[in-house]
Amino acid sequence: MPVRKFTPTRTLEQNQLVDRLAAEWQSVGSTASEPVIIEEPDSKGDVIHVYVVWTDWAQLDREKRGDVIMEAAERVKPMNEVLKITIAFGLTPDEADRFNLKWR
Amino acid sequence: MPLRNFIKAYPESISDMLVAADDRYQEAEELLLQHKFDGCVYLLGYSAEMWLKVACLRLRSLGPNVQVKAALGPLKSWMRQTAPQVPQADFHDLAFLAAAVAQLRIHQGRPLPLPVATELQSRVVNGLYPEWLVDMRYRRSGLAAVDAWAALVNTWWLKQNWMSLI
Repeated sequence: MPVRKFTPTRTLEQNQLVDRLAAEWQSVGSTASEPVIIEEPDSKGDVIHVYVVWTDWAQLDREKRGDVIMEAAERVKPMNEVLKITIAFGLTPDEADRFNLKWR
Repeated sequence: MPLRNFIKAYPESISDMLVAADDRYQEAEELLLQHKFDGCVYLLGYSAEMWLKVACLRLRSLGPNVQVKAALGPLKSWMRQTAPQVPQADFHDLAFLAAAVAQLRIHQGRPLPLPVATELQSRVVNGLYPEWLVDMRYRRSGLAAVDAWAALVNTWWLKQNWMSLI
């Protein structure tokens, strides 16, 4: 049997974050305190900015947090809506407060 | 405030990146004059990366105060959907960023003019990409003057022309 190399593109931790964020995004009427997902529409009502406030990704750098948000968005939103998102900003609660994001 | 804390508290914006691209380019020129060729090429690659990132994000209609890192995930997702033939890469990959510029222009119905597309391919994809990657920081590459001059000429093109990519 030929030996094939498996090269994961993301860490297990990132995969778990994508799973959990997508599940939360889809759950209507969730009472979980985090992650908090804020969708900001433009003047036409299209969501173009997404902010996610979450303690659990404190150890992940901001670039990777953006990847996690977009991969979760690809699971929960139609593709034409995903393509309109230009900003995916992942923050911890402390960072969100520092940036004066109204998330509470 | 220590630099680490400052950078964490105030992530870089598109306009910060433009200033930094010019700074790294000038520092690379200084290193070239001092015959520090590895360091020169290392800094030139970062300059090229920053000008390409700015071009991509401006093509996404993002303004100068937008935080760069928050815009890169959506760009990668956009490329995944609209240009699946382009291999996904990290955001230091100059060939990926050049492909993103070309795809964004096509998507807007105004492909890069042939002379510009040809130069982008020649300077970045065929010129800088094979000779630069961030991992070069971990070793002595032993680059020669000719390598550094080639990188300088290719990056100079991007410095002069990044706005024509938008």
